[in-house]
Order: sequence, then C-alpha cells, then structure tokens
Amino acid sequence: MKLELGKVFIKDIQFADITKVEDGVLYVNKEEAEQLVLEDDKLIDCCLEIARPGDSTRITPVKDVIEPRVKVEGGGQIFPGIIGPVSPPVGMGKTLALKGCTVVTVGRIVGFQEGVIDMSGVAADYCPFSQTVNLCVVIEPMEGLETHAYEKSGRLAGLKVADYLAKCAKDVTPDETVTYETLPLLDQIAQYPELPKVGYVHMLQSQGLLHDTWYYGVDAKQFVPTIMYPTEIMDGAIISGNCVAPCDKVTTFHHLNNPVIEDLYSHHGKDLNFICVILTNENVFLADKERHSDMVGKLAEYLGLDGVIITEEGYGNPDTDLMMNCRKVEERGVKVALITDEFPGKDGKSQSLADTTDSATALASCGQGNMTLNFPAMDHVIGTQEYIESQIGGWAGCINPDGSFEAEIQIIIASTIANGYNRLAARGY
Amino acid sequence: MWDIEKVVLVTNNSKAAEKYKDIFDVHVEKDYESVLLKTRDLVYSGFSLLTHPQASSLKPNQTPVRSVLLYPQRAGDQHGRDCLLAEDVLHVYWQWQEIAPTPDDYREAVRNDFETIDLSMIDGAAGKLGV
Repeated sequence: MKLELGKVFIKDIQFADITKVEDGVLYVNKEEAEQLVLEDDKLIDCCLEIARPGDSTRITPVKDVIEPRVKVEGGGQIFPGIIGPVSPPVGMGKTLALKGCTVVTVGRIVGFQEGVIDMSGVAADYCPFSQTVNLCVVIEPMEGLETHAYEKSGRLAGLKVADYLAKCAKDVTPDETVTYETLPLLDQIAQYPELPKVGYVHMLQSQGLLHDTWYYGVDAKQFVPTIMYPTEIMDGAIISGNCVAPCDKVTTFHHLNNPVIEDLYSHHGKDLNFICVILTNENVFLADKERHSDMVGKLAEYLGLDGVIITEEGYGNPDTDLMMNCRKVEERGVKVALITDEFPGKDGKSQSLADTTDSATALASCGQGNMTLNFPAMDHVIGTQEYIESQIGGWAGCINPDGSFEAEIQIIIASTIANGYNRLAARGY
Repeated sequence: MWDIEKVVLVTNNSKAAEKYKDIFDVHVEKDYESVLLKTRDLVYSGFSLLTHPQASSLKPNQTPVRSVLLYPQRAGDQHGRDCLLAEDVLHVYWQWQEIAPTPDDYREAVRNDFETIDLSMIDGAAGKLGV
C-alpha cells in the first residue's frame, strides 16, 4: 500500500467570505462552518474562534484536535466509517494535509472536563498545539443532552469542520510531498531480507464513555487484535473519542501524525524493515486483556518479527495491557521496546506505572505528569476556566481570582503523550 | 458460559447499584477505597476478577467512584494474578492519596458525571457477560 502525502503549509487562519487556501493562508467562511456543525440538532450553539501562537489565549476544555486532510486519489474518504463510507479502505493514492493548523473541539461535556492549551507563556512549551494556528469549534449542547449523545456530537463536530476545510483546499498544489509504502508481508520481508523485521503494536483506549477510540467506525473495544497498513492511519482510519486525561490523550491529530510510524518509516530500508502495525485495545474485561495480549504475541510471532515497539494510551489498567503485551511478545522470542509516560508523584520517587513485568527491560519515557507549573492569567479564554479545579491535574483552591492557577502538567493537552509527540524525555546518566 | 446471578458487583456508584441490583449480586460500599478493600477480600475468599479494579486515565485521586465485577473462582482461573492485582491497585491508590487526596466536595453534577463514566465501563463489561 502506497500513499503520497502532500503537505500544504498553513501560516495563518483568517475568517473570510469564501473558504479556501491561498498563499499559505486558510480562509474560513465562519457562518458556513458553524452551520455545518449546527446541522446536528443536539447542538444549539457553535462559535468558531482562531487561536494563534504567541496570543495571550487559553483554550479549555479541549475535547479533540484534528488536522484537516482530504483524499485526492486512491479511493475512500478521510475518517472512513465515521463521516466517510467504510469501504473502500483508505491508505493508498494521494492525500492532502493542511500542516501547521488544526481544528480544536471545545465544549463542556462532563463536570471534570478536559485539558488546557495555552498559546503563550510557560505552559506553551509543553504543548504541540501552542505552536499551531488553531480553529476552535466551541459547541453548546441542548439542555439535558445525555452525556453519550453529547460526546458523539462533539466528536463529529470537529471531524466535520476539519473535513469541510480540507475539501475546500483539495486542488491546492502541495508545498512538499512525502511517499510512504508498505508492501504485502512476503514482499515486504523480501525487500530488505538482511534487516531486522520490526512491527508497531498500537494500543487503543477502549474502556467506555470518554475512553473510546474508533477504527473504521468500529468501537475499539469490540474488535480483536488485527493488522493494518501504517498508511491507513494517516487517512483517518482511527479517530479519538477519548476526552478524560489530557496529558497522554491520543487525539485524532496524533493518530494522523503518529510519530512512531513516522520514525519507523524514516528508518525503513536503512537499519530496519518496518513490516506493519498490530492494532489492539485496552479493555476493562480481564479476559479480553488476556486473550488480546495472547493474540498480539501470536501475531508478532506469526509475522516473523524480530522486534516491536509498543505504545499505550492512558494510565492505570492500560498499564496492565502494556505489560501483558510486553511479556507475551517477549515469550514468543520477539524483542520489545515500550514507550509510555510516568506518574511517580511530584518528587518523582514513587512507582511510575500501575503495573510491571520482568520482561520490560527497554522503555522510553515521555515525561512525568505530576510535575507542577504556574499557569499565568491570559487575556482571552476560549471555552471556560470554570472547571480548572476539577480538571485532571488541578485541585481545590488552585485557581486565583485573576485566572492564573497552579496545576500538574497532566492538565496540558499532550504534554506527556505516550507516543513521543512531545518534548519531554527521561534520560539516564 | 457465565451464570449471571453469580456475578458479584462491588460498587460505590449508585447508578450502577440501581441498574444491576436485580441482575448481579451487588455489594454497595461507601467509598473508592472500601470498594478496593472489599474486592481484595473477595479475591482472597475465592472469587476471580472479571474486570480490572483500577480505572483508566481517571487517576485514583480524581474519581471518587469505582465498580468491580467478580465471579466465583473456576478451574484455570489465575488466582495468583488476581491477588497481586487486587493488592497492587490498593497500593497505587494509597500512593495517589499521598500525592493529593481525592476531593470530597465535588459538586453533585461532577459526581454524577463520574458515576456516568463508571457505569459506562460496567455496561461494557456486562455486555461481554451477555447481559
């Protein structure tokens, strides 16, 4: 499967009469985009706002972050099974991506809410979306809307706007094109027979309301582990429905721009042979955890892999899936490297993960979420700071009357994201 | 595969207790810690864990609500694993309480949302049991 990803670099977003991309500026017809969101009768209000790097602006509570992409050739549509048809599959042909800009969905879904993006100040150093131009989609639900229905409406609102923007830029000539290709298994192995065969075990959050992920429209807790071409993910085969833990939430943006896949492709044919992605989940049911980690081990062996990289989403019982996957893959004679983040307390001295195994001998850390930071007051808040104290990382009394607050960095979107799309790392000396 | 009436639900979530009171053997506990202690005690007295006793993403000092499903131990069950899990989860809970205790004054709307999230998790597991 071969995908040409055309990148159009966006340096600014501005509201205008016609939605288009011209000279690196994304012009957006605000009313048209808002009306698109309000086609969902469960949402009574939608307001688009622009947040630029360097602005004295705070965005919270953030539900999802999405990079606009559109299929140009090759069949299928972005976000198959969600807003595009489920068939044909995606991941081949040509896709256009608007780089440097995002769609950020903002809304009050539950009382303890989601995370924070600061566009300037000290917290901006911890968030990749402090460096992008963000079109914020602030939504308001109808009175009494049930939480599951609201989550779905919020999820679709962001995806629809991203899809709308990218389709309006479909004919733009990309500034840069990168080609990614993975061959069918036997051909892929034969292409670089001398190089170690490496797979990527991608664990999806799948625990229930606000802890879910979708794969071609399937709720991830419903499937058993499977294999997929890495390029399918770049076309939106996986979307996020998780909106609880900001720091290590894998947003839809992170699925589209998975850094493990990007780096494995950059090493592909040089010092390793990137074979495929093994997709699995993180269910609450222990029998699922056992069965699916067994299946991951079997698939790694069956594919003839020499090594795998495993990433997880979230903290707590997913650490058990992570360790089960590690142990059972190693038991099949396949080497494992883990990527995760840590929660060892403010002093960094407590146990970092909720589970462990003797097989976990190679682990890259993406930072620790318990570190605290003083967040300055901002001139403008997109959304609301009403719930800062009960958001993950905040505490009663942490916010000051001027809007500044102290909190753990786990309140920042993607600050310790457990696939490495961040700047934090732990190093041994 | 499962005798539904033998499934034990240990919970301090009023929504879960109400929904499953006529389906599972429901043990209502007063708080998060007592749910974990009751779970551990049941594991030591011959029950197996059906669901992992620790939440995902919601940290143990954030949500005040927890539910766990158990089942009478059967041949082939991993009793050792369950004992370790039940103990580990308690230690992780205490570790997080040292970092910062769980707030005890959540507004009703916030508490209600935590209960909704926890119920969604139990609903998913109940589906696996054929409920």
